[in-house]
Amino acid sequence: MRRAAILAVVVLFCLGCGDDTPTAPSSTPTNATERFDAIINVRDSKFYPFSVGSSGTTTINLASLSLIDRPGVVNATMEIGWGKAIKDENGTVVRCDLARVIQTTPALSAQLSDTLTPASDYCANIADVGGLRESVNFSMRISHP
Amino acid sequence: MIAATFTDRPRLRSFVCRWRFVIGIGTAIMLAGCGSDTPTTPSTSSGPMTENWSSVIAPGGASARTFTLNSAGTIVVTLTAGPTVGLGIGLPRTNGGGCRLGVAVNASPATTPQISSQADAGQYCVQVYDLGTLTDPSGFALKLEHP
Repeated sequence: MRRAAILAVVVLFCLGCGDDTPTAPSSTPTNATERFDAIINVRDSKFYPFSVGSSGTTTINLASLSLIDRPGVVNATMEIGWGKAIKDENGTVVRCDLARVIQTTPALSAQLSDTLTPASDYCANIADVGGLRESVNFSMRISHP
Repeated sequence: MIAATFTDRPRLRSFVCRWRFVIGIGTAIMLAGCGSDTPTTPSTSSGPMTENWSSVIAPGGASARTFTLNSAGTIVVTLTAGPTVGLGIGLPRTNGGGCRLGVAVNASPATTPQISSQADAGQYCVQVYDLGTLTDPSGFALKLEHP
């Protein structure tokens, strides 16, 4: 009887010692990064629609402002921002109703960071506020959930 | 069945007691095995990287190379050899080659970095371009350090 008891204890002890497979880390939502590359003229503005799928941080980066016909950078102050994308009855985005804007010069780190709620259609905007002397190429990065 | 084998009451009580003890110990051991598995943190491999790059630029031309930042950090560029040129960092063009520069300087070869810039994770390019001073193709070398 004692042997049976010891055996039972050993069996239970062994049951407790499972092979602990490492738990996979819970997945955090990853952001998608979209590029908005175009030419902007003096005193012009351009917008780029994007969709935020879930709550999280959206960042906007004016990464480059460069001359069209030769290498180099243009260190002009531009206005960048985000807003709600307004669609017409066909679902085409026709307007960007700005909610937040800042003035900035090009950099390789995001200049604007906000939580955009609710998940919906938004737009990133760039505008010349008097800094441009000629048309330039620009590159923006929009990183969003 | 048990009662049939144990006619003596004190012996039966002792037997039941022993079994209770055994079951108690067994349960305790089993429960001890059921821990809360804390999620394993993913291992990160983000050491700084150094890339050496040398190439040639033609008069009026430019030469570019792409690289990736796995995490946000500082990009450091040192032009170590070559003529005085334009040196910049930017985003690779989405169509075709080349760079859309975000940071640029006029650089002469040196041992100290000409560019040191904070950057988000992502794809970048470094570009060397003629400032309009070259008359012949010229070789250059640079060192690129980034996360």
